[in-house]
Amino acid sequence: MNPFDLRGPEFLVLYIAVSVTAILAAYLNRRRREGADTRPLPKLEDPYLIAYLRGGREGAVETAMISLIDRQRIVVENGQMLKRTDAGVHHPLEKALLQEVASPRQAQDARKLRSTDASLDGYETHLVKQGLLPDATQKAARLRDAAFVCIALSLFALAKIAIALARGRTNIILLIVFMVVSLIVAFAVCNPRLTARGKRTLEHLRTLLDRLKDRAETLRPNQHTQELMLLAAAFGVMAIPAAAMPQRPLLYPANTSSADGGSDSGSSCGSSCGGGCGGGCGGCGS
Amino acid sequence: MADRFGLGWRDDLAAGILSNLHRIDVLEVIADDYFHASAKKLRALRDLAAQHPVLLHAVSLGMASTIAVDEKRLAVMARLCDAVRPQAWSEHLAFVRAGGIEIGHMASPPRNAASIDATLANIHRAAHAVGAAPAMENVASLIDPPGSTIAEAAWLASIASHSPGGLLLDLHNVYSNAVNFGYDARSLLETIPLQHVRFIHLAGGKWIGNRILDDHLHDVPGPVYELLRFVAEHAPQPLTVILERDGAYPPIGALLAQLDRARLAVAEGRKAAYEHARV
Amino acid sequence: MSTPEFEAFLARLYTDEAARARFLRDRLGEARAAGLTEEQAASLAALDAGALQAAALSFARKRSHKQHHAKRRWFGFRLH
Repeated sequence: MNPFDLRGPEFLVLYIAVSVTAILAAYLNRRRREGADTRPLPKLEDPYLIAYLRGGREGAVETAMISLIDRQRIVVENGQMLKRTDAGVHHPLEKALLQEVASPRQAQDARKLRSTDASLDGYETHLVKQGLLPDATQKAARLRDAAFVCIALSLFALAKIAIALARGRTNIILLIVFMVVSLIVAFAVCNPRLTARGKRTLEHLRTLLDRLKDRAETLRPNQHTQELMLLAAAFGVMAIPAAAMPQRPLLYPANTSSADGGSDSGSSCGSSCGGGCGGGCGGCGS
Repeated sequence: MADRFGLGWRDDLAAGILSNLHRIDVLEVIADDYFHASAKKLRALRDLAAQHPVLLHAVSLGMASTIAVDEKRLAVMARLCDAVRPQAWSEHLAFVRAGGIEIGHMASPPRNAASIDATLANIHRAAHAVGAAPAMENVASLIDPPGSTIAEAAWLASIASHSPGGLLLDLHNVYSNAVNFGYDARSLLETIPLQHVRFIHLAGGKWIGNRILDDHLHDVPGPVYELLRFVAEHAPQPLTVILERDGAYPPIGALLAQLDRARLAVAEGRKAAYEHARV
Repeated sequence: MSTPEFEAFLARLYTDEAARARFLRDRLGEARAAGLTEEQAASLAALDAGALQAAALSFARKRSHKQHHAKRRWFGFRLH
């Protein structure tokens, strides 16, 4: 039986089945290829390295901001981020961030801070070397897989579309939508940011830090910098509750959350600070 | 192999430990916390053990008992060891249940010939089931166990001499019992065969009246470091020293400072032994 | 002198407040009623009552702590 003779709805079902099978095969192929690395998972002691693994440059910058704010090197007053002091700030990333807020910036622009510090490139290189981020060979193999699956799925759909048009049928919109969705999913499945080993390392760290996440509400400002940094690094900045850092909801509001794994626990302070309470809300920026 | 200094893994300390692994030679994980753990939690522990030296420490098998240790519990311990592949495992010289009653904690057994024989039999059962003999830890007690006909030091010495996994010597337990029952802690250390000590536990407790409760909620007291120095001076083999803390957690820096103090005590003991040998 | 029956008697003494009270009122009588030997009963007669109470309290706290944690685990570590 010629599949291109199937009626519209039946062909759509077939197309979905073929897409799922092709994407699954590409996924398994990538897992097999990247799963060959049997070295023990690396020890990641540096919160910035963990943050970079989870969220890339943005993750590392957010974690550095958490550290600087909890240590009161940056304060939030009247809805603005201000550099207070650079005493005891040695990390190049932290220094670069302090430089960025040397002239006051709006607190809600925290996500726009982009340190150009070259040390973050070192993190990328380190994580690639550890097999946690894909190297050039893996990226090329992934692109090959993605191209193969995408071309195959496109040709399959386009052939049906051409035949349908030749037979005078114009109800092809749904197939085009399915094709586009399949291509996006196929590309994403073939090209995740982390390798299988990187994903496992992050999951490993998150499992070990589960209890920290559970007791995040018990952490208090200016007392638990290391814990807050690890929370932000492993779970994302949204895992930090307002009780632990009253400025966090103002700097990183829930509705503009980046791709992190945390959950917003709300705030009683950030909104009042954001409304211009002049820094008088019990510790915001003080 | 050199002396090693480590911390008891507690989930509440995870952030501090993971950020300071370069200052911690070895981690001791409570085995019972993982007896019924999810696959995800178990995988995380296995990965941790592959990255860093891990020891498993069991608390509920009830080895120092005239009742044979439960085969099912041993099977669970064996499965955990297979999954995690720790460098070693340990248990306590205590009984934790009898007659269907769970005591809920480690009770000091009557110290007599029968309990020595029964304990050694249990150690051999455990070694057979798990594939490696446990290091056995002395326990603290508020009560002088009834039915005892042998002094604690002699009882411990008998077990240590015949236990294939060696001794895990808890120095705070030694110190607490010495205070609670009015003897000299050093005399106990002089009696037991220190060459069988593989691991050492350090902890802190609190005074209740004229007794010490080994609650693991306080810093290691000075006399315990003195005992550590003594052991390091008289036990030439490499020692693994573990600091235990079960609650009222201070900042990780305070625990690492106690670990540094333990390093210093061992170094002093080693130096004294070296000087004795030269004379 | 150690037997499973003796350990069971100790376990009850450490965990059962009523049994402990009965024992402290009539040590030898309780020990004999439990079928212990004269030697075992004599060793119990010398037991320090204050130390026994302190040890029982410590064991009770440990059991309560474990139950609390078991419950918390049951609810997925969400109860505080």
